[in-house]
Amino acid sequence: MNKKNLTDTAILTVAGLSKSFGGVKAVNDLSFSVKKNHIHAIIGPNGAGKSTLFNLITGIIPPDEGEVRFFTTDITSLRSDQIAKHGVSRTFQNIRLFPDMTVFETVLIGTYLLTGAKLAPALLRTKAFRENERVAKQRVEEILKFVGLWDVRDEYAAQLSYGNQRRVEIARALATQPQLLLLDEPTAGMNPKETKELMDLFTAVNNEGITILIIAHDMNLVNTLSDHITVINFGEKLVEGTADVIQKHPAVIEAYMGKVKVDA
Amino acid sequence: MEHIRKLGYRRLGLLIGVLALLMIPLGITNPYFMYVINLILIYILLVLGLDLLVGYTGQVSIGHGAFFGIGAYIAAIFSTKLGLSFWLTLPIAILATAIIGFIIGFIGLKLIEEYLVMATLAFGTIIWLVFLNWTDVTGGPMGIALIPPPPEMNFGLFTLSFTQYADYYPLLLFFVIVAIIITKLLINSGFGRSCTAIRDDELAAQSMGIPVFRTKVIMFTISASYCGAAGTLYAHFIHVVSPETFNFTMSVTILTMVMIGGQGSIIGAVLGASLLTIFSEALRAAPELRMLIYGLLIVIMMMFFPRGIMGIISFYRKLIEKRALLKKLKGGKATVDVKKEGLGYE
Repeated sequence: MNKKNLTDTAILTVAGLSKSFGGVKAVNDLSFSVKKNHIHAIIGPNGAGKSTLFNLITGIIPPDEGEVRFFTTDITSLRSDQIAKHGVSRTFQNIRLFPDMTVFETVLIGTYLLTGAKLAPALLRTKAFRENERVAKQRVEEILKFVGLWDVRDEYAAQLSYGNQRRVEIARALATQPQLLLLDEPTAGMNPKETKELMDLFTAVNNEGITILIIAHDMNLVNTLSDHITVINFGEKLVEGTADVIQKHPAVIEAYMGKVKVDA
Repeated sequence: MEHIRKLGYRRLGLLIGVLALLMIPLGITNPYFMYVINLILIYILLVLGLDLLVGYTGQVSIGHGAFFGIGAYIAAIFSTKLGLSFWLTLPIAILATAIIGFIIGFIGLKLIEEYLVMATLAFGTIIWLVFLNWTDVTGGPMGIALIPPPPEMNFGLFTLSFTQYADYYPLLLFFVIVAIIITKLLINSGFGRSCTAIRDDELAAQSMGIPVFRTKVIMFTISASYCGAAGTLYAHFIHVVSPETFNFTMSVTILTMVMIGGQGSIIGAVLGASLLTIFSEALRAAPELRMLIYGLLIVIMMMFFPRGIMGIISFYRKLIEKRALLKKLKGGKATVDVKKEGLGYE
């Protein structure tokens, strides 16, 4: 693959992150960093704590211990809207769309950070307000064309096909102008064609200079797309490295396949 | 004609509508009817205010009767004891209800769903008890009487002296139109959109950078001040305020109007307020029966028409559109068939 300029700057650093639910350690002393412009995959068996990790990074649940840094800013104790403001956006494992909104309206919500919510300009319809609205709508148009949803912009987002609903979610996340995009199992339940199309979309997004942190089960996707892989199991980091390293690593094979009995 | 076309038919329609509304008092000579119409206008203000919170932001309050009462009592106290005119009591009441709304919202909105409902219910009851028992200021169960009407307004051609119900009508209509315009401007902005996002999916909204709690508190504050304004108008229109007007029943009545009309719809607010005001005036003799019917109405509406009257209307509109589309498709096919037949005969 001819890749864009991969950098060594860490865009996201997770250090010693832990979270327990009751007695279960969902995430246990986890540390890794995501480099700028990479597509970084998180893989691991079901219940390994991948989604919890995403919720910790985006401030939906607070960690028990540890630290999350975005570039050099500590974002551990920030609310999710503040984290979004820093330039981290996400999609959800179970698609979360706004049931009463069209595709266009849904993506327009993502422009909140651009338009803001100041009341006085809205009530007076000032020039700056109208300009902001225009720019926001233009950006939505660009994004919808980019993800290939412009033709269905006036349809209700929740009535689209599963694959297109995921696209809406990604478009909404892109509208916040993120530097880092977190995708939580974006291709789960998709057929091979939809998966392929979404993979192309991720590559296109990445080529726009947006770093992607992706949770996935589809090993084909992970191997094709990712520059770096972190494998977690029982909330702990098992291994990390490039696709070649991961595939051959005995610990990964063990986690997925069970222990290989050498004597047998 | 060119001018009219430039104005757009939509705007022209609005203009004609407003003019027609202004003509209403000329056609209605019965003062009681005029009284009911004025009451409807005040209720529309209340419903618009509560709908901002319930319909657009998804936060249910059954304490908004208290904000209505606070607005009314502030107008009553400031005008009877300090001699302030309506044009001063109105901004004072709006400001005061906004501040109280902010405080209650700030505390209450930390709670979710049914807990918020309970908190607003408690707030409404407490305020009602204050009206009832703080006799020195509120006049206790007797309330405050002899609230002066707004000062005479002279428009050259005609004068509003506020000696009869019909005189209040243009003033109330003016405030309703202003409230509708403000509502429209609010909901068609980044702020309004963020509120609907919160209503639909709080977690997703917050992940898009929307400060959920702050947005809710601001909307609660605005919603409360709508009710404060309505309260002031009510006090200067009825000239008497007493605690029983602003009890739990009032809060439920406003909420019922929101539900019946259709949440998140301005026309729905107007419809809900109009229908239920007429309905409750018709049932004046049996107020207990009224609450029974309101309760039943809410349950039925929530079960079958969660989007109220406006929901039913949009459902049938879509159905008709679908049928028209089908007809069109069938029609197209039919012409093709005719052609085929024609060809056959040749």
